[in-house]
Amino acid sequence: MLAFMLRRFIYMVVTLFLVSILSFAIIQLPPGDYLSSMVAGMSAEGQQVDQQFINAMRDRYGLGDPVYVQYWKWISGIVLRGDFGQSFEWNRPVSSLIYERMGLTLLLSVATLFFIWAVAFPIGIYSAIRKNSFGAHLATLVGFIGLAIPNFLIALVFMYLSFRYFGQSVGGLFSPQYENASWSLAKVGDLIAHMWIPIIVLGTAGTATLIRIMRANLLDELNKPYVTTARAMGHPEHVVLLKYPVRVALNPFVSTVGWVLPGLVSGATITAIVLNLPMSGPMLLRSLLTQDMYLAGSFILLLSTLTVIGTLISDILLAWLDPRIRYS
Amino acid sequence: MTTSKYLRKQAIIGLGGVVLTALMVFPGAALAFNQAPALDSEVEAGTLPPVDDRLPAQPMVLEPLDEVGVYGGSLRTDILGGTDRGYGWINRIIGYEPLVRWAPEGGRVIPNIAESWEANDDSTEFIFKLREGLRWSDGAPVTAHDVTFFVEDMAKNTELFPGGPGGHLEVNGQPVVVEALDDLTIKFTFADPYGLFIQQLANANNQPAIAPRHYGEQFHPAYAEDLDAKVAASGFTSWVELFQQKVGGPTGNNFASWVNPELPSLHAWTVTQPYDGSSSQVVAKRNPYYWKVDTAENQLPYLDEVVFPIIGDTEVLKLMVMNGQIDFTYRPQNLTLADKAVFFDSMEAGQYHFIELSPDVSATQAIHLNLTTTDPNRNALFNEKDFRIALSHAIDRQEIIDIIYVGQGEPYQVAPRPESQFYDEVFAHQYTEFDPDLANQMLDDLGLTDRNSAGIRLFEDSSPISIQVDVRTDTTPQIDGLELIQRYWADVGIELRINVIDSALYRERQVGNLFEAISNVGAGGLNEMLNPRLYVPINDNALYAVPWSYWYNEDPRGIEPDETTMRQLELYDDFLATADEARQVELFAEILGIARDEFRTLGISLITGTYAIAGDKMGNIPTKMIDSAIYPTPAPTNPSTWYVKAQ
Amino acid sequence: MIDQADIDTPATAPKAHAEVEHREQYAGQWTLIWWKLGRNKVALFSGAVVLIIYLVAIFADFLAPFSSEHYQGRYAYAPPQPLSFFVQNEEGWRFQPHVNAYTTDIDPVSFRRTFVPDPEEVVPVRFFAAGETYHLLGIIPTDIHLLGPENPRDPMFLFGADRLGRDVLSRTIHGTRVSMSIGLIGVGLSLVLGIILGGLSGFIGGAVDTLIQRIIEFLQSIPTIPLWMGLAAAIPQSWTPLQVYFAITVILSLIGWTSLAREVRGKFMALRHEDFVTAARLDGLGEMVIIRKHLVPSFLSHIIASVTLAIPAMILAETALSFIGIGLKPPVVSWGVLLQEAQNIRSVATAPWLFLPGAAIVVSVLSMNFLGDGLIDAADPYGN
Repeated sequence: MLAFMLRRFIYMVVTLFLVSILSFAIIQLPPGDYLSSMVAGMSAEGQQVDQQFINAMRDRYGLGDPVYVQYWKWISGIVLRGDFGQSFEWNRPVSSLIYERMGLTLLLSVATLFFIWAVAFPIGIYSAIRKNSFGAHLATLVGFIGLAIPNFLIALVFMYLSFRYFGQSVGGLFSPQYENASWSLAKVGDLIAHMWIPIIVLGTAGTATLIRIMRANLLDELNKPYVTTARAMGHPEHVVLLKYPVRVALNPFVSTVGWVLPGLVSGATITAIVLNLPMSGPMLLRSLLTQDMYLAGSFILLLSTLTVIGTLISDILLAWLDPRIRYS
Repeated sequence: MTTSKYLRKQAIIGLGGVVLTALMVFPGAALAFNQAPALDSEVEAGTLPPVDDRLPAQPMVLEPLDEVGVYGGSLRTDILGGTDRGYGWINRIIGYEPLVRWAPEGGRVIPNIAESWEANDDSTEFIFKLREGLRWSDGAPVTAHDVTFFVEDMAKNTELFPGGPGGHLEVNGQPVVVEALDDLTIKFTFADPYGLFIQQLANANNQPAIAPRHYGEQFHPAYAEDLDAKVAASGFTSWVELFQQKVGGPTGNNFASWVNPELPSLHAWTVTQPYDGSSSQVVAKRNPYYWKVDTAENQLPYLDEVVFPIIGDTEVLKLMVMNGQIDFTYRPQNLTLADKAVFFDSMEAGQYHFIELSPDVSATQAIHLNLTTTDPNRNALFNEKDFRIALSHAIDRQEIIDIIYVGQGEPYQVAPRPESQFYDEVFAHQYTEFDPDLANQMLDDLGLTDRNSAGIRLFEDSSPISIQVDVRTDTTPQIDGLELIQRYWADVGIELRINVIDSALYRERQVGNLFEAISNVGAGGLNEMLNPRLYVPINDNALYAVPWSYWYNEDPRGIEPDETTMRQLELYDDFLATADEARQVELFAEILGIARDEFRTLGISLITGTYAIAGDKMGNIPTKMIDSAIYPTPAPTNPSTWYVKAQ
Repeated sequence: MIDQADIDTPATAPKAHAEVEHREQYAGQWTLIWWKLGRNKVALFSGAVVLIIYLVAIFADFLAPFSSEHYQGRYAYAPPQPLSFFVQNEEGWRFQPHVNAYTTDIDPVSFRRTFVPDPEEVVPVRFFAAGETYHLLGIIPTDIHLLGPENPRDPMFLFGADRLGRDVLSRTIHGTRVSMSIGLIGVGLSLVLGIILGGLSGFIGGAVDTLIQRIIEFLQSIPTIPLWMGLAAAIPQSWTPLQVYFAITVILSLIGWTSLAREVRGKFMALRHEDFVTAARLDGLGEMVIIRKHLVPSFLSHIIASVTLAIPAMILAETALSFIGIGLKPPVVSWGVLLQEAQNIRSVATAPWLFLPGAAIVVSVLSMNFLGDGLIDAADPYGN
């Protein structure tokens, strides 16, 4: 077990190193750099921008340096000093910009994860034991419709409906009066009142996959001799089901933690933009669009690290839960 | 040279002349102004001086549009996420406090921080008198040395402003020299005549020419001790970055005011929740030292705070407006004519109304063929005036107007608007009639008779004549327009390829002279003299020939323009050097005449029917506004006099 | 090594059931799969829908009344025109399929377009109507459209018109072609990569397996949106829409192949140790025969199922790309492009017919998913 974990850890470090190179490469791919997007913004505001000023800024930011020099500056700061660099656009340390948004992002992601489980778990079980029944098909249909409709469309329509028929304040996670208020019970209540749309929109896309996994695994388990044996021994059906098959079928739920969380953090980008959520996604997208290099690069690196660590944790958990797959 | 020499002649310059008598004069001693109740407790506690001590001896008096307002409440107005920079909008709502400013109705310049000014005969020397007792938002007095600090220590510092102090503070590349004659009197001296200086000072695109010396010195290498330590502590790598962040620089007007809450300002509200990516809104609170009052001796502003929610998507913004969550929005680019019907439906529920905008731009869409394109085939063809005329005749402008602009407007070139003093019927409407036969005939006459199997005409080397037009992703009406024009041009045998790109790449290709043709809104409908780039290539927004503007500005990337254009640029130099208003107009009309005859740009239709939206509960917001960047809508209408009506 | 695939893969064991019909004991694996699929009505129905959608894509030119560029300015944002079959005149009712033209007006204050059906102005409609010319299947030149106005210049907007007065129905039908093929080609590319690399991984094992697994892990750990954006931004400006289309397909499949590869590998590993494979080996069958008769069918059916499930993911990814503004661009017509044009409050509030492409997406994604699920169940013909 220890050797297994150690090996996985070494792989992880190598992967992260490659990811850091790739994330840096990605942000270099689009033509231009942060200054061209800044100048575009300034000229859209009607201001004349002097070429000498741009050149001086480019020198100062080191944007004229070869890519590997820029990469070294960035990665050495992270590895040696834990410094992710400054955001060009916001003139603040990248780390504080990211951490400020992480709280709500994680909260929403975890809440969504629970929503996904709460929906997928019963539907998965039901559609496995009542296979091919009308109810099972209907339940699966509901699960899949969420997958089938593009997220931004659901978000837009939900927002329009909540505006038209519920009169709720549109967009964001808080009513205006709580936006900058300190935390209180009322603010928490307000947050919960605003959270249902994003949770549903984000969650619907994930439920279908889990329903399918749950159903498939449970079907496998139900066909195994021990289930037949349990039935033969006269145990009530719910005991038969819940005692072993469901527990075994739960494994994939554990493994979802690895990819669902980071997936939500980054995959929620589009939804977060449409719903105007103060999550990390819109800031990531903005930093990519404005080519705010260190912010975008660090964001990608962080998300990848989350995924890699998540995968590692779920692998270790699984190996611990189910010894059969440990050393395959 | 003494001040009195200048005082003998009250020089009145500019488009509409300057009225200095607009100020009511209050008897100095018996002042008793009112303040916002929110400030009472602070004054009682002694943490804030009484209102009379905070106001200058002669506060600027603003006459509220409709009525004297009541104190309190907030204004919610949007900043868009995505790539919208937002600084520009904050600046328009609260940041427009230059030495002199535009009058609410536009056209003329009125005093602001400076209570009076005069100029010598040849417009080389300007003397400004600052208001006595004027204070920064931290209570420190405003003096002439704050102006010299900005000009001499900031704008002329080549590290901080590597490109020089900027257009409005130099003439022919010679920066202005500024000296404080006394604590409140300041003199600007130019090497050459500068007839438009006062207008350029009021132009919101230029820096406000004043900065708080008492705060700024601590970050300036000429004054600060242990600056290196401060830089190191801040996480920046040079004093320049730190200074830009704390006090300001060429990164945008008042940029530092929106990111550094400590920076003293002269604005009606000062930022408490900065625009630094940390929050989903920007908040600015009342400046207790604001130096303007209403006609009932109430210190302005009425509103306690201005809140700028940062909204990720235009559609969310629209819903928030319809839901009554936004008190004022001004986005003629995003809220299109076609959207108006949707807003109209929710007017009652959302309790808002439309504000009619009268834009200073001319055409809804302008297509600029790049007259300096590096492709020799296209360069030769684009420079044929008849080719441009043929393309213009090939466009069915009325259909574009009907489909995209909901029937609003008329076929129009990039030319002064009907309400402009420079309006020229011929310029505005030349070559706008839809006549594909004539277009075909003209193209045939140019010798472009060979066509390929798809019916596209060919260059001499048998390559098809295709024109790639760059257009920004966020300008849907223009993209739609190009889709229609694509068909019209195909009908006369010219292929149009639409290149939809984001604004940064667009700009990159623009300044790099990398495009074949480019689409944008046509500027220069009003305020032509201050923004003549589409008529004469003076800066890199002269989209028909960016390298000509480089040549004019002695930039090494320049390409020498043709003789007519050179003549036009000489006229422009003469125009700039002229102090006499009549002569300015005369020279400028000549410049426009050349632009008309050259016909460099294809316009589509006249912009009309654009709108902003304001909440019904807001008082003193005009129902009609000038829409311009130079006159920074809505700043000259004095948001400090806006207020929330009692419900 | 632990993978999703290891866990998900049903540890299938052949089961004898009393009620298994006699013929099943002798039928080949493909026959079994087919029988089993035949019993799954939902999957069958979904399969039919998928087939129809691909037929629509192939015959889009013929099925769509107009080309995707055809427009009538006066009909911008026109609501759907209901199709009627009878006209009434002095002599009574007469069979004549038709739509009624609209009289249109723009309100000067609200800028609202109003469309009032004009009972006088009847637009006769017929099947196999002559319209714009096109090449059927890219070869046969013709101008016959399944349904169209008798006079091609007359307005017929059965599902309404978009902001430029283009027919939503026609554009959705034309969009089928790009959207469905992007799914198919993209998955095809993914499949080639996935089978080769996944197969190698599962078959050779050892160091190769480790390396490929690390590559997969590496690619999967990169957030998709930045990766898409970076790659899409690298597409040269001078490329034609068609080249951009292929580039985007490649970009999508670059990420898509990883999960397929994992599945292939997992299946390979699981099958190697299956009871029935061992049984075949004990029966003295040669390795090639085992692979051909037992491994490939069992394996292929799973791959087909995975493909069916991967296509809708591609389609959705294309719409997501369009949303961020880095996907396909007009004049290319795909469902993503159409939805991107429709995704605004104005459409939700006043022109819901613009979401017809959304309905097309939902239908195709759902049917592919149900078909895929059916295939997964059927691929394991001995399960109950």
